[in-house]
Amino acid sequence: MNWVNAVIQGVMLGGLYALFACGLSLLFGVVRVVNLAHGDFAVLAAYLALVVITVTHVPALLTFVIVAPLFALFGYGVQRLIIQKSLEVSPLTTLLVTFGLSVVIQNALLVFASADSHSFDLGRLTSASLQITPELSIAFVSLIIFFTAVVVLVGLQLFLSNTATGRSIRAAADDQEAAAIAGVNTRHVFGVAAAIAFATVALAGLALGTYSSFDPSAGPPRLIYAFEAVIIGGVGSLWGTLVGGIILGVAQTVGAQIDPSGGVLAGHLVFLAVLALRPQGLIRARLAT
Amino acid sequence: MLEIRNLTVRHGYLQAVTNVSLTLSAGETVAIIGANGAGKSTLLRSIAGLHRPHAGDISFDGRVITRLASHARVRQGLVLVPEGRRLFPSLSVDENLLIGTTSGRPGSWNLRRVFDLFPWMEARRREPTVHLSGGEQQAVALGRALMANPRVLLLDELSLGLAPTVVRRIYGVLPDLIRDGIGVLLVEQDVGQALRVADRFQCLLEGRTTLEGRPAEATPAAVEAAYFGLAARAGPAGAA
Repeated sequence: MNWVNAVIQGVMLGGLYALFACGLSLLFGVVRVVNLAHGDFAVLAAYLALVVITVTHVPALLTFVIVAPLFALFGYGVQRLIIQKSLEVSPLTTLLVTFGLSVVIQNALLVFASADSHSFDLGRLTSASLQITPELSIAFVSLIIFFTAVVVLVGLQLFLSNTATGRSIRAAADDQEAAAIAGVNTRHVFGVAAAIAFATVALAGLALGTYSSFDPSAGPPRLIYAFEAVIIGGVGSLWGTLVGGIILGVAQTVGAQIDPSGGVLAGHLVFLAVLALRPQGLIRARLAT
Repeated sequence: MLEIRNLTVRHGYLQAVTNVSLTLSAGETVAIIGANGAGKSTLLRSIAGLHRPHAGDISFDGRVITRLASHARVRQGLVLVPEGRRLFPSLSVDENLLIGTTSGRPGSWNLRRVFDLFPWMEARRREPTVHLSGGEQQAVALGRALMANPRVLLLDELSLGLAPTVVRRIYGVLPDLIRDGIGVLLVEQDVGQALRVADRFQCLLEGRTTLEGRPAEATPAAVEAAYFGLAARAGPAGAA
């Protein structure tokens, strides 16, 4: 039963990783930017939620209503004002710029919020769980995060496949110049893709603060897990991102079951195995087919 | 309608187009001919907003559009069918066509009318474009441009890589478009094809205009001289 439990907890954890990876996957698939500050933006969103809770006293679970739209606007701005400019210089510049943003965010948080770690208090929900058998239970918090990840990824897939904006995003991802001459305002479309990516990164930050805790330096490890989920699943496939997140989560919890300190290592080993044996990822697909 | 004045375009140190002027009226077809590297595609791409000119002006309906972004030019009715078709591989045939409406003008073109123009397309509208033959892809690229209800079509090497019968079929749709008042500016390596459909032509050599006029009035020898630069060697007066 311990093994079943490990797998189920791993699947739940995979939801959190998929939520983290979603924005990274979208931004890389569409704008061709590897956002090294991805994890730090998630942590920044969690801090923003703390401020929102302090100021408005809304329940922690509902802060996403305020934080996600704010982050979408922020993402549009960051894309148009910072990333787009660096894209037009060279791809290497975008790496340096996002790396710089990562350092700036971490240090700014240290200065303004101290190195203390925080987590969101959900009241009774924090310890509530779904009892499946006497030995097997799933925390409601994990379930909420997992279903949020599924809803976000399915919703994003449907949005890309079925709306005019989604179509423009896919066209610009395929061939930026051809999209421009066909009438697509590619800078705006990239801004919209970044807005969506940032809204999902905000959700991931809130999920992190509910699932465990965060501090100013919590971003970079999250970036690594998100990267691994994207690579395992296959770059450019949102379904792959979900699958990749789940595989990584299961590898970590099952690894920890074998040896309590070996969880993270097991995740990295699975990632390396996929990279060596199937570098294109498990699910090879273009963005939204 | 479209007027280009003394346009100079550079790629780094290379001057691809030098001091070229050109006009195009509604319902008129103008062909740009010239050898490989003569600057034809660069000229067309600059008109579509893909290259920023070093000097000179492009105006459309009396409005200077030299600094306008590509999608904003589409909104004015200036639409390029690019060399190599440049369809979107992850989009289906009808999604490719619908992209044309993103910044398109209102008008009579819609999916129905494109399917009437190319009847085979409707049955295959859900397929990815990579399943199509070169000629079929070219038809989709033309359809995508028409969906924007263009007033001027810029056609870059429509015939490239296509069988002669397919080329004839694609060019066969042009007269109907021109009757609607669409102006066509086309770039062709196939000089015979270009001169057959054009009202006027302009020959480029190393980025400069070496000959312009009406196909009926130009002798093959004069065109050949302008195309290969033989006249320039004989003396500058020969080019006129």
